[in-house]
Amino acid sequence: MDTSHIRNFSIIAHIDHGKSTLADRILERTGVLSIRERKDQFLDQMDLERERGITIKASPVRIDYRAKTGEDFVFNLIDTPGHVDFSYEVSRSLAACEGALLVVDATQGVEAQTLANAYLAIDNDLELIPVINKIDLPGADPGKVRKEIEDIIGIDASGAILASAKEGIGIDEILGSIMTHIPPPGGDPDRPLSALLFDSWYDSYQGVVMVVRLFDGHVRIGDRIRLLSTGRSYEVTNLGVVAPMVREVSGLSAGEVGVIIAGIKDLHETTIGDTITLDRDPVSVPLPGFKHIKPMVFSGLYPIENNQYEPLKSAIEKLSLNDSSFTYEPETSTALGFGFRCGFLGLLHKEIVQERLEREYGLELVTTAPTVAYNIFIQGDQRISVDNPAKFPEDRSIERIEEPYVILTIHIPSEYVGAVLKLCEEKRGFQKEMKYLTQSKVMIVYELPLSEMISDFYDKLKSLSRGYASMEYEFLEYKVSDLIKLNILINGESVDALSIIVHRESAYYRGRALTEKLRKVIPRQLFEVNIQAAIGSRVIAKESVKALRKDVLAKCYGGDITRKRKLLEKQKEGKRRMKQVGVINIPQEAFLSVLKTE
Amino acid sequence: MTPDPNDLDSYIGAVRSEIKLYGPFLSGREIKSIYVGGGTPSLLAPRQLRELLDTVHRFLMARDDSEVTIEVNPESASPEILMAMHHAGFNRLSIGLQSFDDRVLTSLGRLHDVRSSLSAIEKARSVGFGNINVDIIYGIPSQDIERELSGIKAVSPEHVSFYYLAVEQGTPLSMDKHFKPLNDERFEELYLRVHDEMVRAGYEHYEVSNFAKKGYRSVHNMNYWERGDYLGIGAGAHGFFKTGLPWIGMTAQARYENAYPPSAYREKVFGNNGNAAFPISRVEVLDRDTETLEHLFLSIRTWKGVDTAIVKNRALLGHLADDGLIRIDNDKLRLTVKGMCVMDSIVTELF
Ligand SMILES: Nc1nc2c(ncn2[C@@H]2O[C@H](COP(=O)(O)OP(=O)(O)OP(=O)(O)O)[C@@H](O)[C@H]2O)c(=O)[nH]1
Ligand SMILES: [Mg+2]
Repeated sequence: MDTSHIRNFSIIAHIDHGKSTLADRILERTGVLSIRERKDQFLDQMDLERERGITIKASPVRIDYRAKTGEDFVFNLIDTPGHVDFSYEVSRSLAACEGALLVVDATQGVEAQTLANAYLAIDNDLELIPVINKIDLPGADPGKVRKEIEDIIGIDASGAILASAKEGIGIDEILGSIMTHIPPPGGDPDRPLSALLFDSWYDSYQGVVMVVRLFDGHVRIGDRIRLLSTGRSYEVTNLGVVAPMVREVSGLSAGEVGVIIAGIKDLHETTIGDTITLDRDPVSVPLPGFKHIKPMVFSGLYPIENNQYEPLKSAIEKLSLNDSSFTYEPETSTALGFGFRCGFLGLLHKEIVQERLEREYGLELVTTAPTVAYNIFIQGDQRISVDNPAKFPEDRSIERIEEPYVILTIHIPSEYVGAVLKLCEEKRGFQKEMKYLTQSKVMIVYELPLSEMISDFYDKLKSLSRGYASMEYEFLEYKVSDLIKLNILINGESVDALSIIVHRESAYYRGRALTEKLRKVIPRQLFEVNIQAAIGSRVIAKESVKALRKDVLAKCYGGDITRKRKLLEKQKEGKRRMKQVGVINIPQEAFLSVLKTE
Repeated sequence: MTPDPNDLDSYIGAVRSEIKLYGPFLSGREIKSIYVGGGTPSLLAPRQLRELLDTVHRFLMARDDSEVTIEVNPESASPEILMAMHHAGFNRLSIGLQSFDDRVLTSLGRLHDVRSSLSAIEKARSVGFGNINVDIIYGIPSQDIERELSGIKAVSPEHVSFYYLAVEQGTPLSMDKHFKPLNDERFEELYLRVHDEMVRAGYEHYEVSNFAKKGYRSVHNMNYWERGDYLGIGAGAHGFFKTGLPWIGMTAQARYENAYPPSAYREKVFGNNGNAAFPISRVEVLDRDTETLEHLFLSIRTWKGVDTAIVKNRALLGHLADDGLIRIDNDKLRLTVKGMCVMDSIVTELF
């Protein structure tokens, strides 16, 4: 394939501005999808994506496009997610492209992720095509939005395309602009193969399916490829393009996006960002790859049934192929047994990973409240990183503790400034910047402890701004903080999975809130439940759940034993889903209630 | 609504055909109790009552000293019907009395009053019933339990079943938005009170919700709780056989349920071309685990208790005993009265 007729581009935007819907229209207009196959947000294939109405995974599709001149082109489109937790998906997609459609909702204008994603694209030297979408809506103000794009992002928006993905307006213009504005990929098919592995998934028959962008060279079925990071080589058994089902091809060459299957069964051998080359004629310099992404929030994942540890392990390994942004390592908890401590990019990401494990692999999981990773310095300037409150050292050898801070950017209509500032101050933030982006839009920048962000910050921000605030954050640095460990004891036994790290000033408050919350979520049961919050050996709050006094299906005659038995089996099943601490049954919500206590 | 007498006749005909069907299969088995209940057996004519028991005696083998119970509602307990029941061979009467307080009866949506209950008992005695059970419901917020207890002592039935109120659809209570079920503490208080007073009055608390004077435990219900075999006859009836249901070709331990409603039941029994067939609509084969659970939750209801050996979570026994919920002697586990209040939780913890 001659590179001058290839265009590789992503669609980027703030969440919900219409990327996936625009992709639908492009796929239909170019005949990739027939009317029969049509369904809203076609590329959001995962059940979870469809249920939540958001894109989680970036998906590439190959499109054949015939220009008005009759010339044939190949477009590789990558639809990306808009949610801040998945911005890693955006960066990976951009690395495979030369251009991007920057979609902006005509009623919302530029929001926090519009800006963040536009900068990602600019940093990657991509050509941006601004698209002002949803012009069909009554509140649309394309003129204002065009000006916002120029003033806030700082790019020329005079040629911005006015579109409605819903009504199919502006689609031809967008296609034409992709052809004329986005540069064809450089690269030489005759140089040694150099391909970027930017996504993968596991297929139970074929093993690892690698999604790649070729920068130089070409590959054919039967070639031996080499993964540069490990030096291992494999024979290519299949090649394909995603259109949108995988369509087999005999070769791929520079500039193209496609999939390579090479019989790799061991999930540990491939790493996203790796460079693929040919074994007989390798390149020596790897492609830039991706910045190693560090998870921000950590949480324990445990099977409800202890014998499900192995299935959980294999599920996590397979899922991590398709989502390289979460980390995992085995851990044990006295309360929960064997499980994994996993690192995620944010709370939504954690929720999604948990749900995917449960649905796609049929597992039942308990998760602990998310925490951040603390740096603890003990005497002699030894540093340990603790991402699990249970591992927090309690002796006096701690010299100082640091917690991660983020730099948080909030975009809001000016009338909510006061409320947002108050929230940020409450959450121990330091204000760094505040500026009017336009007459009515304000940008506020704060440094804020990440631990405050992962409780209910986003919910609060959304509710106090009636949904108008948008935000974006990034890890900044570790800063010294006055933190202590709060232990939770159930009937005198410390429950590791319930302990939390808190700022000293809020320890009493959190202790009280947490014991109270636990009293509400732990059901009455055969034995009285005593709940205590303690710092070291000092109890600072306590509550109790009285013993159950009524639980009897009085009537049991008439011979219908089955119905009664079923009721008991149901109760038993409910108990099985709880975790036992001594003789006490603790429901799953208890482990998460640690998070939301306000 | 009164059923059409012709319908009733044809229904009894179906029941008799069903009994007949079992004859050849149960020839070696002896019946020790018969219970006619569910629905309103007091609507049956004297002739039908007789035919029913006659059919049992003709095709199955019942011991002479069998416990033969029939249910009756106070409002339909006329001297004639009671007399007919007694003559037909019933020797135990179960009266759905519910309460000794008219206000409680009204809120339960019952058609009878206390006066008719008292007169039903009196009449039953006078026609010769020497074994009477009354059902009492408790747990209605406005109810005065002392009133119920003194009512029982006054009429002195041989057997009393105390049922905790289950709010059923369509009753005035189910529509009362202000109605709140008793809280745990109040429930336990009532239950302990009932236990104390009934024991003081000479009753044995032999099962979670049943009390009997000496020698009057219900043979029929004990059989359910001990997982003995029983035949269920009639529309929607349930049955159980440890040795399977060979009449439909099943040899594994099984529970079954008959077709319901009566029209469907009748259709099955009579079959298409007059060939009677077993009207069984559902069979459940029990595996070992299910058997163990049944054994545990049924035995634990009674004064006999259960062997500690079948308990899976034995580590818990000491804790339960310490808290006064169970007692263990000679490897037998029995619930204390306090334990009976939380029986279901104990079962699901132990299993
Ligand atoms: N009225 C109108 N609604 C649109 C238009 N484009 C998209 N929408 C609606 O906006 C909502 C979000 O659309 P999506 O295409 O899922 O947005 P997205 O940008 O892919 O969202 P994420 O992937 O979650 O970031 C859906 O309800 C769409 O139907 C449009 O042009 N006009
Ligand atoms: Mg989308």
